[in-house]
Amino acid sequence: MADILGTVIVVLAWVLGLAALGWAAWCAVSAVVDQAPTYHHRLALVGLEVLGLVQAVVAVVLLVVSPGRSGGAVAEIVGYLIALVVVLPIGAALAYGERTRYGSVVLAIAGFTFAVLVLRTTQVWEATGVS
Amino acid sequence: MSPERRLNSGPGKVLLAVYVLFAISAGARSVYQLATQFSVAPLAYLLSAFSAAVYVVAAVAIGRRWRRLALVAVWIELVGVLGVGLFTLLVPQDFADETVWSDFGVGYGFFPLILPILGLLWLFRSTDRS
Repeated sequence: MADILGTVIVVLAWVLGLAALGWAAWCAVSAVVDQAPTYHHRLALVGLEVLGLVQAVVAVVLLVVSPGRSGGAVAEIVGYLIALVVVLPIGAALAYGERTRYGSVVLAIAGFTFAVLVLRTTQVWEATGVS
Repeated sequence: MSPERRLNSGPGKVLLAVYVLFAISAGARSVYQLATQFSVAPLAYLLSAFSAAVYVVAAVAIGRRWRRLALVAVWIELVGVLGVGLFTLLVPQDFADETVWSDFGVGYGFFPLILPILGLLWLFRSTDRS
């Protein structure tokens, strides 16, 4: 079980990172061509958020079932997971009501931050892993 | 007044988003440092906590359209990054660990130095006087 989840978390990290970068690039292009966020931008954001939540749950389950990391490492990973889960809702809340290109800029920043957080979480996860 | 010139909309919304990002990341990092390794580099970590507080005040002030408070916070931020940048350049041995403002924010792509300049430009440009 832990083995399967261990694989899931790595695959999901790749999917999440690349999807977030793609979405951030899409939002950035929209900003450049003077387009406000559309329904489709927001739909993709919800998709990313759902995948991010799945990743966070899988990571927490693995932290519980296979202990061995130091308290500091667990605190750092959980901190990054919390950031990962809240960054897109915060970005969406800020961009809400901003029906100009600047709303798209805000979403692009949120998407890029999300990708960086996925990368950092994975780095800490692998650097502190026991297996 | 057109909404584009309001302190917290248009380009101001982007500025707000970046300040919220800095406030949260600097704040979380600072809490982690103070809780786990304060004795390693007390000066650097207290400075990290101070810079985090400045980002939080700036973010709230821009979000609430408190122009005067935002100006004060962003000026402190600019003086802080220039001062700490100079200090870490001249007497690096006093800092046992990095802070956001060390070496003019080189660890963060000089963004800590660019951000207050962009912030001041927007605060002067915005016609929001509420």
